Amino acid sequence: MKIQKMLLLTTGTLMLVGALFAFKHLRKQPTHQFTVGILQTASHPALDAVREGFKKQALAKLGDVGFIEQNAQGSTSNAHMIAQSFNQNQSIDLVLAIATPAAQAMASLNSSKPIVFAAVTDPTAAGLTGQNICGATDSINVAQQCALIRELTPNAKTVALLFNKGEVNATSMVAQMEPELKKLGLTTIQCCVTNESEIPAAVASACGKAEVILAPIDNTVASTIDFIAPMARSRQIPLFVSDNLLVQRGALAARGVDYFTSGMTAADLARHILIEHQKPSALKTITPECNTVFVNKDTAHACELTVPQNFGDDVQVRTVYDE
Amino acid sequence: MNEFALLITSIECGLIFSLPILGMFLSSRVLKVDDMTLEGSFGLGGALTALLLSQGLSPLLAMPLAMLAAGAAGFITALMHTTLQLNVLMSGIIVTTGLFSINLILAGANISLASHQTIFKLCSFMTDYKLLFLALFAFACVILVRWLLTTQVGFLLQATGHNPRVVQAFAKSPTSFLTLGLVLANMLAGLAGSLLVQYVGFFSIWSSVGTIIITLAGLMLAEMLSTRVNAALIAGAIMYQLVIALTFELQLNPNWNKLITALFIIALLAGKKIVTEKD
Repeated sequence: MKIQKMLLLTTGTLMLVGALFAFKHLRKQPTHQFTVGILQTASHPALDAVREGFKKQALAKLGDVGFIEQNAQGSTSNAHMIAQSFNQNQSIDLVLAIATPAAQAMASLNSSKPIVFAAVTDPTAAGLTGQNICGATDSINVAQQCALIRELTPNAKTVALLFNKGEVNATSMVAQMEPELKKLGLTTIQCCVTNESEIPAAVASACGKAEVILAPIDNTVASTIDFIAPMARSRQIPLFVSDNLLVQRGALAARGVDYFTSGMTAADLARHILIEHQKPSALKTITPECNTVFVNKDTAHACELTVPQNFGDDVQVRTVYDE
Repeated sequence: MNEFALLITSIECGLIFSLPILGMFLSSRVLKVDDMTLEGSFGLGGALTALLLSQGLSPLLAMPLAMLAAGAAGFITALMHTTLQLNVLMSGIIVTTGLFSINLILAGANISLASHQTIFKLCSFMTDYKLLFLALFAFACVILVRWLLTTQVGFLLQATGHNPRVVQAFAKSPTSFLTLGLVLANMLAGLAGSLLVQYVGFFSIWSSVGTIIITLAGLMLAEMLSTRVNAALIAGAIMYQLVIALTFELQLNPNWNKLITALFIIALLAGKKIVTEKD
């Protein structure tokens, strides 16, 4: 019996190790000029938009490029393992790390492969400052975003901040938003959740306590926007978000990040590195320009708001979506 | 070396996760109670370590503190179970839920340790130091628990699981031994959380989510090999990580990864059943 178990242990482990190496060698040999490894922190609409934006722009600007896509599904140890797998994969020329944990996992290897990050809010705080790292942040102009509330809802007094306390991007943005809103004479209340299932209660509470809801860049809010937006709308509570794509899904307005464009920006950085052979450290971290205000006309109508056409000289207002 | 990097990483992750598996063995197999607190205390160990290290504390101090805090979490679960008569699964889940907030308060959503001291940077003078160091930790813990179970305390711990009356017959309280067992189990999970944070170089609030699955799956894999405390627990943990690494190497659509892992575990468990029936 003991021998049988020993045999089982040895065969089991050997089979796994063997399979690991077999797949390493059997996997598709690169037939492209460039191969980009995409390490995504989790499956999520905004992060998926970054990936699609990157792929679209990379195919346009890099020409013959192939992608190896992996998703850590939220797990730190998985992210680390994928990073390691990418690092030793000779065919990968550059790694795109989507969102902070993925970028940190890749950066912690001290690999010589160039890393381009995207959807990271504060790269310095996240420790993403190595020689071979550059990327596009998803930080927004918080002051302008808050001023939008004054423009669209001049009579509002209380703003409910709806976000997930477990997301570093959201918490750091809220910390900037609170003083900005105070400056505008608005009272703030925090409606925090720790997961998606808590959103209904938080939104109900926010609708009861405040005239306006403001969400920072937050994955939980983005995932549950199809619940939040109709609920806020039915109660005539203007919902401001920081991710432009969410306006299309029913939020009132945003002056923030477009994740698809952010992915395209990251692809431009990749082009500088792969084609023009620039060093990642010589490339700047790109912060998106947020000079387009997105307003959902239907929602504005439902909330009985009039949308001013002039937010400033270089600001475009987009009210129509071609869905 | 580069060729084996993913293999080494899998082994290293396996060594880290062998500690909560050892804790799960203590609670689930020795004490016969399934302790779900392990997931929360794994996160707590990581959160506290990240906080203390980012404040400049030495890892040599931060790690024992993280272990103590995780042990305290186990103590609370045991207290809820023994004094409030709550179901132990429920107590564990409640404590884990509560710990999520505690971890957020302690460390926030993400702390980078790139510029801070970690136990791995301390011992980076050796080559292959991470693997050696983690192996040392994992084997030391297995040997310690194994030794503990042969002592009088260990005997009473096992008796608490099998038949609490025996413990009472020795004029000892089964309650205190159950508490001791859960504290030890959670200290192991806390140590693992602490090691993982230092190993990957950052803390993320999400990193502890799913630990209980890794732990249970690893324990079941280990039990295919042996039902006693020995290297099989470490082997089980490593095998689970190898399965995960394999799903990455397959380079299929990433959405399939978890399903592949699940199918693999089913296959292995079916294998176990065949082997045990032959015996």
